[in-house]
Order: sequence, then C-alpha cells, then structure tokens
Amino acid sequence: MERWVPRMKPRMDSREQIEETAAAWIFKRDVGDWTAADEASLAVWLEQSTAHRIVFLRLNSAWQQAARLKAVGAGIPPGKVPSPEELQHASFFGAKPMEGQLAAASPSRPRRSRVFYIALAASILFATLLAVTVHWFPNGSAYHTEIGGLEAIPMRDGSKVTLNTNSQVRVALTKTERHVTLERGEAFFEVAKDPGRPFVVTAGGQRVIAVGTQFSVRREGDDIRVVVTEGRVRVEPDVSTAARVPLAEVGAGGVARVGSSGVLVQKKQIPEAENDLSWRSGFLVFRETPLSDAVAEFNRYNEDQVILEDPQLAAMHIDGNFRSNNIVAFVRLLENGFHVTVEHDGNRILVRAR
Amino acid sequence: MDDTPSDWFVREILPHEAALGRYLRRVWPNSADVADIQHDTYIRVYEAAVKERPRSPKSFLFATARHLMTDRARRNRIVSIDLLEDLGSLNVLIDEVSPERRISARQQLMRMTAAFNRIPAKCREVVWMQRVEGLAHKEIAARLGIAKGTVEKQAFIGIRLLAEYFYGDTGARSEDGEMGSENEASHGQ
Repeated sequence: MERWVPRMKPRMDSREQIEETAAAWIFKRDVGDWTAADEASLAVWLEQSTAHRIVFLRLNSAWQQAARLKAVGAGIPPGKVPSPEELQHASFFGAKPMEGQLAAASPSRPRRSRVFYIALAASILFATLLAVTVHWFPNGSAYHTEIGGLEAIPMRDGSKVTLNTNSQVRVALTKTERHVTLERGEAFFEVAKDPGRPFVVTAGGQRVIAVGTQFSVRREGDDIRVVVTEGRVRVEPDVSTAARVPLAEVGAGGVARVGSSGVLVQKKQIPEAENDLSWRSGFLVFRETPLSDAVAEFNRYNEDQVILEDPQLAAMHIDGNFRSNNIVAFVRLLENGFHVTVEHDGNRILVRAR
Repeated sequence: MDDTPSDWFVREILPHEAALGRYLRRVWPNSADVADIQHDTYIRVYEAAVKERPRSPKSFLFATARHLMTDRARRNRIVSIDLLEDLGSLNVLIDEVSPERRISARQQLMRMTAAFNRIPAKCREVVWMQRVEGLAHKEIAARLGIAKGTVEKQAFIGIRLLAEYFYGDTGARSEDGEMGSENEASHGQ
C-alpha cells in the first residue's frame, strides 16, 4: 500500500507552508491510514515550534467541529452532498419538515409485495368506511443508528426524534396515540403539542407519557433514565390499563432513573440537565465525572473500547467537553494529562497507571 | 483540573479571532499584514500561557496584539500619527462579560454550517464525505471520479477555509451565529 507522510522540513517559516503541512496531518489522521509512527512524527512536528502548534490547533479545532454537520445533515440520505440551500433550511434549524423527509431517514421497513398493497388499499377503503383507527403497521416503522451514529427523524405530527449512538426506535402514529418504542439505546424527543393524542414512549417495561414537551429516554437493559428539559412527563409501568399506577411525575430539569427496584427522581437545574443531552450535538460533557463513568460513556460511541486496568484510575475525576466519537483524542488527553500508559490491543485500548 | 495550554488556547483564544481580526484591520494600515500579525499574536499568547494562564484571556490577547503592532510599526518605521495614537490610546477596558465562547452549541453549529456553505463546491463535497459520511480517502476519490492527490488538495483547501470562515472576521455572519458580535468596537476607541 502506498503511504505518504506530510512533509517535514526542519524550518518552515511561512505561515502558509505551516498551514499546508498542518492540513496534511489533519487529513491524514482522519482518513484512516494512521499509525503509531505517524502519531509520533506529528508529536515531533508539533514540538518543533509554537507556530506549528497554534496553526494545527486552529485548523484542527474547526475541522473537528465540522463533524457536527452530521446533526444538521440528519435526514439527508447517505451518498448525497446537500446544496447550501438544503443545509440552510435543514429541519435542524427549525424549518418545517420537508415533504418526504420521513422516508429519507431510511426506515428499515421490509419490502412489501404487490398483493400486500392491493390488500392495503382495500383495507384503507374498508377502514375509511368504518371510520375506525387501524394500525397499518402494527409494529410501526423502525429506525436505528450504528455505534457513533446520530440521527434526527422528523415525525409526521411535527415532533422530532433524535437518536443517539447504537439506538433503535419503532414509531407508530395512530389517531389516539403517538407511540414510540425504545428498543435500544437513547433518544431525545421534541414533542409537538397535541393534547388529544398523548406521546408515549415505552422502554424496558415502563411508559413515559408527554403531551407537549422535550425529554430523552435512555435504556440499559430494563433500566431507563428520563431527562426532561421542558414541560412535564409521567412515568408508569407498561402494564394493562387497570393496573397502571403512575410511578413519578418529572418536570423540567428532572432526571428520573427507573428500574425494577423503583424510581429515583433527581431535580437538577435545566442547563445541568441539558449537559446530559449534549450528545445531540456530538459532544460528551463531563463535570467532576469519575473516569470510569466517562470511559463507559465513550465506549457507547465507539467500536474501540477503553479499558481501565487499575482501580485507582477509575476513581479519578475529569472535567471537559469531548467529541463523542473521537476516542483517540480522549485517550491522547489521558496520556498527556495523567500518569498513565496506553496500550492498543486490537480494538481494546488498555489504560494503566504509570 | 488538568487543562493543557492547547485546550486553553482553543477554548479561550480562538473564539475571539473574529473580533481580533476586525480590530487589526481597523488600526493597522496594511490589511495584507493582518493574518501575520494575528499569527504572531497567537504564538506569543500561547507561549505565555504555557508558563502561566492569563487571567483575562481576551484582554491579554488584544494587549499582545497591540505590543506586536507597536514593535512592527517601529521596525518598519511606519510613522503614522494615527496608528501610534490608536495604539497608544488602547488601554481601554476589554470586557470579559460576554465571552463569545458562551454562544450556544446551536449557534456554533449555525456558524459552522454557514462556513461550510461558503467553501468552494469541490472542497465542500470532499469535506462532507469525510466529516459527515466518514468515507476513506480512496472512497472519496472513487465517488468523485478524481485522483487521490486531487482529493488531498481539495481537503487541504477545505481545512484551511473552514478555520478561516469559522473563526475569522472574514467568516460567515449569520444573525445569531456570530462569535464576535459583542462591542469590540470599543477596543479601538
């Protein structure tokens, strides 16, 4: 395989030349063909002069932030580069969802046969005559993201679902209810107001009910965590109507953890609660977070898994904002900032106290 | 908490680039020098921060730029009364009340979108495919039907322009997506 390494002249005084070299490093690092030797050469280059370092920091910081265009581009089918107009009017910025956008978010609905459509047409006619609500797709449409993914899905009722890494939902809109099943992972819901049609999220045996509000639900097995940033939601067990007893009402700034053993509601300031939802812009925000928790968060977003080998590392606390899918930068930071050594073993990144 | 000079620089200094650029352009007679003065200012600020982080990053940034311009003016024997007067009278308060970095993630994203929309079409495609779709070098070349070397060239241009438009004062100006929107006009009065 051909290899190239950004040119490293010992002296490069002109700002333009430095920018050229820095851009080469940045691109090379992100296109995948990056080795430990490259990392070392880059470190040497950065150490050569402050000029190198500041140019690199500046270009790299903007470049890394460009990854957040993902959030704006959610809904634009892969393989298409949106025009400036399309991006400017992306639903992310509050424009009305465009026609056909729901389909563009690539629901994984199975293909239907022609017979099915004839049957469907017949049943629509039948249902219209009877004027009853019919679930065409009883299980709804499924949407999912891969590890590291982030996807915004506009719903036909004007609500929006944003899927975090490695998550899956099933959406079913009926006349009496807007129903989302969180099958895996975490999702943030911006619910369009519609008092006649509650918005219900089921996950791990619980129901979270809202009328018009913003909240997220994260699922780990049967435990769920609900973060509310606006309005109120009600949490109740997902059992037959008669047996439903509300477990908790959670208002803005509230964080509820619900598991088989019970409910814990924590009242936070709204900005603090929003820190928990920074994943929507591709960031993880840590405030006095134990390193073990921070690592567990990172591992959700990346195929590469960081493993803390020493228990005393787990107890360290860290602060900062990180790009959720830049585990390389996170590990580099640990290496630079703390007394640790890092060893790569396949897709495992082993971190030990030095 | 552990905060490297690099983290500090990205967080506390870069967001002021637009304001700094406007300031330099207003007081320095030759706008062709502005990028170099800014670059030299950054170097000095960074080197100072390695030793000790300035308490008011923005004031420190502007003060450093002022010293550099004064040095440069002396070296170049620019005898512009206006300039020297400008530089002399700049001991004004530079408010730290509304640091631009406090702009919301959403505003930053709007600014990034505007910056991205301004880069030339070919670059834009390369940047999108790499940053958003995560395609490899080879895949980008194949999809655009261009050589790998051309992809690189476009990417390099894209990387530089993104930083310029995102941070710089020649950057995109969307209503609420602008970083340098506070009253930096006062720095020159």
